[in-house]
This record gives sequence, structure tokens and C-alpha cells, in this order.
Amino acid sequence: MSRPRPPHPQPGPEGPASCSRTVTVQEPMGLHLRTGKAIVQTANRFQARIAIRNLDQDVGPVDAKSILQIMQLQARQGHRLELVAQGPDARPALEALAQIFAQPGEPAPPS
Amino acid sequence: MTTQIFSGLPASPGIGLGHTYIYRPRTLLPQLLGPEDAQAAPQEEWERFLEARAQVDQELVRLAERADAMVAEIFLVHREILHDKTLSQAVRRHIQAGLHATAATQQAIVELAQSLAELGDEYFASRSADVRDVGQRLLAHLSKDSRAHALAHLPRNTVLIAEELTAFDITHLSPDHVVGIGLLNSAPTAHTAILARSLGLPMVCGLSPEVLQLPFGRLAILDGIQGRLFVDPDQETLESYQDTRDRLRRFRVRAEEHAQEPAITLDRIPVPVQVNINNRQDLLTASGSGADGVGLLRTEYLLRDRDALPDAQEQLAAYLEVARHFPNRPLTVRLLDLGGDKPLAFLPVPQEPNPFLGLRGIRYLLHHPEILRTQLEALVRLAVEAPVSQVRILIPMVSKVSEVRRTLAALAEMPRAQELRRSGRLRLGVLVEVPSAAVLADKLAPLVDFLSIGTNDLAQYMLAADRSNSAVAALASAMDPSVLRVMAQTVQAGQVHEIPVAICGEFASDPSVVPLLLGLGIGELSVVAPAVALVKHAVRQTHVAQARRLAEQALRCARAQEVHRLLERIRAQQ
Repeated sequence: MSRPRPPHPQPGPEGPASCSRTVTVQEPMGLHLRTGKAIVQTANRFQARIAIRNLDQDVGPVDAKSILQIMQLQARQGHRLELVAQGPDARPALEALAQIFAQPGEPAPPS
Repeated sequence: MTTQIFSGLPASPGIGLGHTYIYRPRTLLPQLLGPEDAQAAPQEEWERFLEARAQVDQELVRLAERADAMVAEIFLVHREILHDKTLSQAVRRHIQAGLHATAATQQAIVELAQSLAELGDEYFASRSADVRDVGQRLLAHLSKDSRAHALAHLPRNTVLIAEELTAFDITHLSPDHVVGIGLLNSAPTAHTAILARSLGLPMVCGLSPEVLQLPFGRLAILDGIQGRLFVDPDQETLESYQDTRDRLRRFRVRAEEHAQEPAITLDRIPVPVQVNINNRQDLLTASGSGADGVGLLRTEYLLRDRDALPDAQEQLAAYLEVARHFPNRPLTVRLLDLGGDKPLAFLPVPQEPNPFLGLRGIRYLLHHPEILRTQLEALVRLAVEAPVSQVRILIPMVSKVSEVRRTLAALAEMPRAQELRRSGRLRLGVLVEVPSAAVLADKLAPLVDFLSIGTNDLAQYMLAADRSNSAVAALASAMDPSVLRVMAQTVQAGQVHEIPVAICGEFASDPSVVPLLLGLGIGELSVVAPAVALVKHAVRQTHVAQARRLAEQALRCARAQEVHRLLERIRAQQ
């Protein structure tokens, strides 16, 4: 059976256009379908390819533009997720996504 | 013929009398649809898939538009799955490998559902049901021979029994023909149960697997109130349930006829029945429900989909929108109940291992006095401008007397607040939902103008059982004598200090507990909109002096079960 193949942004010649950020899942119910929907809808606003890895479960990377792949992360409250974006608008994409996960005490900068 | 009785969990109230129909859906197995005889033309098949997807998309949008907010969310999430690129890529791959659109879709859905089902984490594994649900909708459009057909043409008076039904199945049922649903695998909190309640279909979950072996067409009773399924019931049981069902129907019809009239008990005591409002979508049903005011306006909806806290002007506009639907009646507004369990992108919310015991409700607001001040300012202005009879401010999550004193001090700083409070236009009250507040109600009552008991949280904190954890949720019953006792204590404090004691929370929305609540001395009830008419009707059938004796008996009980039996006896007498 073939599993979905997530794209993995390669740190390539576009070097500077690739950036990453680590966020923590705050919701008590974990990263559930509703938040997954918000992530996909936000990610789709950008051209950048965005991958997410669950650092605590060692799952991923998966495509942030697919809700089904995001579910594969099995991200529970407290899990750290690494977001890697590559493309011309990689930085604003990560900032917008980080808003969804906004850290306590240090709210993400307004996008 | 002996009666067989199966027990489960009540998921949607009501009584269904009919005949068994065991629904065993064709499972979505990959080998079921092989490559068809004729050679598939990939481009045509891909277009068929896109067309089916567009049709399902319209279907989901329509369903979401007609549903209330909670149900709509289910369909919107399914819409996201429908358009998921992982799904469409898989379908495309199978089509290019020579499969027809139907087989390719089925194959892709089975693979994706399977890969989710294999996950170790139960929540994420159970999302495979959502994927299958979407797949089912697609396949219904791609092939004529679908599950939708089977469920849309059930015989009249069907008691439908199945392992599990999807949201898709429920929305394709012929509701005139199905009188009740019994399921093995669902939970009362599942999407299916929410939909069944919204359609008024009685449902029981968690039945034993034996029910799938039952023969078709057997006489059956589905009791969605107590969570039971009777098959081949004896004459006596059948007649008693026929009575109950007819009584419930008459009750509903009569109740709806008199929804707009005041609720007065048999011994001439008027009892205001107010309504709980969670968001703007609730406004329409709430304003037409016949409610005598708003007993609980949850204000967290103001923050949804926002990137900043609304200022006083904007909050005032939102409250005035509600007020306009309830002229000359009280409007009770709960201060923002924020905390770790309701994270917001733009507010600093603490990360806590146990948010229900953390910085919540008034604790949070006292930590962030600017948020409290803004909301109080809007509410004081509301008391000046609103066409309602009075504005009541409800303080959530009070556990200490000092929290009330500090809120009072913040209110006193607002211009005109003191004067408005003296004139009765503005009132301040405590939401009693933490056991310490109930126990110290006699110390809180002299400081405020009313008390309102929040039964959901009170039961959860009293019994140390999380309502969202299905393993212990049943423990957190507001019917537990321990909860009833602190409720009685709260009422007594209110009576001594001559302030009204209300109840908001799901408990009050069950018409059968109304005699108990009035017997305990509760003076006002606030319930969900669909329950207003029913609760008013129950008030009209209650004699408070008699209900007091019932409450005394209930307070002497040791177990919630005994209280249930007491109430059943009352029902039987009516």
C-alpha cells in the first residue's frame, strides 16, 4: 500500500528563501481536525512549500497543505512541531502559521 | 417469546416504537471494485471524479448552511478533507494506473482511512471515520449502487440498528420512516449523536455486538432517555412505553402551543424560564423560543476568528444586538470565561497541565485587569442604553470571596455604575460552579444581587470527574446527592439574603428534573432554546409545596440512581 508522500523542502540553491520555526501545541485536545483546517487554509494562502515535523513523536515531515497528512502527526498538547517553509513567501507563511500556535507570554508578531 | 433487553448510553432523547432493521453496510474493501472490463480513459475518469467532488462540495455547503454552528463545523471539516490534495493525488494516481473513477476513489479512501486507523493515538485513529464519510459521499455520486439508497428507502417505523452510522448516513435517512437508532460503536458526544438530536431522532449508543445478530422485523422499543433497547417486549412493557411515547408527544405539542405564555406553577408561583445563548447563530431560535429573558449570554463568541480583543464600543454593539431581541426582559451577560482550555491566538494564555484547575474565568480577568475593565465599561453603557428590563453581570469561576470584592471594586470605578446598581438597572451576580463558592454562598450572597448555579462545572468539580473523558463522565452527574446538597446550601444563602437564585446549565434543560429544582427552592431557570417550551410546561405541572417534599427525599439519598427513581415515580403519577 502506498502511503502519502510528503514533500520535504530541500535546502537547495534557494537557500535564503527557506526558513524554519518550532512551535508548541497548546490545545488540550491536541492538533485536531478543526485546527488542522485552519493550518491548511492559512498555508494555502502562500506559495511556499511548507512541511511540518512532530519533534516529540518523530513523525513527518508532512505537507502543511494537507489536513490528512497533518492528522498523521498525532500532535498532542505540549508536542513541539517544526515548520519548514521554502519559497518566495516562506517567512510570512511561517509567521502566519505560528499565529495559530501562538506561544504564551510571547504572542506571535501580527501578520 | 421472551423479551430481550439491551443496555447502552442514552444519546438522543425520545421513545421509538417500531420494527428492527439491522443495517450491515457493504464495507469499503479495496477488492470489492476491481478494474472494470472496459478500458478506462484516464482523462474522462478524472473529470468524472472532479464532477463528483463538485457535487459533494455543494452538498456539504448546503448541509452546513442548514445546520447550527456545532453541526455545521462537522460538514466544513469534511469539506476540507474532500479537497485534500493527498486524497486527490491518490485518486489521480489510481486512475492513471488504469482504474475507473469509482474504483480509484474507493481505493484511495480505503488507503487513507487505513493509514489513519493504524495510528497509535485513538483520537487521530478515529478520524478515519471522517475520511470514510467523505468517501461515501463521493461514491454515492460516482456509482448508483450506494449506501444512500439503502437508507433512503427503509420501511415505516424502523428501529435502525447498526454498528456505526456516519454523518452521511444520518443526513440520508428518511426521518419519517425511522423512529429510533441503536448503535454499537458511537458515543453520545459523537457527530452522529449531535445530528440525531438536531433531527429529534431518539438514539442509544454503546449497545452490545449481539444486537447485530437480531432478526429483521422484530417488534422493538428504543428508549433514548434511559439508553435501552427492548426486542419482542411483553404486552405490559409495550403498553407502558406507548403511553410514555404518546405522553411525550402530547407534552411537546401542548408545550409548544403555550411557549409564549408565562410559566406559573399549580400553586400560582411564577417561574421565569430564560434562555442560554452561546453565539449569534443562537439568537434567532432563542428570541422565538418564548424565553422570559436571557439567563446566560456566553461572551467568548465575540473573540472567535479575531486577532484583537474587541473594544468597549464594539462589545456594546454586540450586546445591544442581543438586547434588541429581548425587550423589557432581563439580559444576563457572563464575563469572559477565558483560560487554558480555550486558547486564543492574540491573548496570552498560560500553558497549564490542568487548565480546568488553572487560571480561568474571573481569576484570568483579575490577572488581566484591562480586559475586565473594557468589558465592564461596555456592560455599564449597556445598562444605560439597552431596551431590556435590567442588565445582569455574571462572574464566572468564583472560588474566593476576595474575587467578588475585587470585581466589585473594578465596577465601582466605572462612572454611573453605583447609581445604576442602586436603581436596579444593573445587577451583579456570582456564577456558582466551584464547590467552595457553593459552600461559602452565605458569605457571597450579601455582596451581590443574585446567584446562578452552573450545574455542569459544579458537578465536574464536586465529583472530580472530567465531563469530556468518557471513562469518568458518567460520575459527573448533577443528580448526585452531593451536588444537590451544595445546590440546596446555595439556595438557602440566597433566601436568607433575599436575592434570587437561578440555575443555568444543561441539567435545567431536562423537563423531568424541574420538580426537583423548584422543590430545592430555585426561583429562575435558564435553558437551551429548544427546551424553553418543554421546561415551561413542566413548571405549569409542578406544585411547589409538593415538590419540596420530593427535594427533601432527594437530599437524603445516597446515590444518583435513587434520585432518578424518585423522579420516575413522580413522572408515573402525572
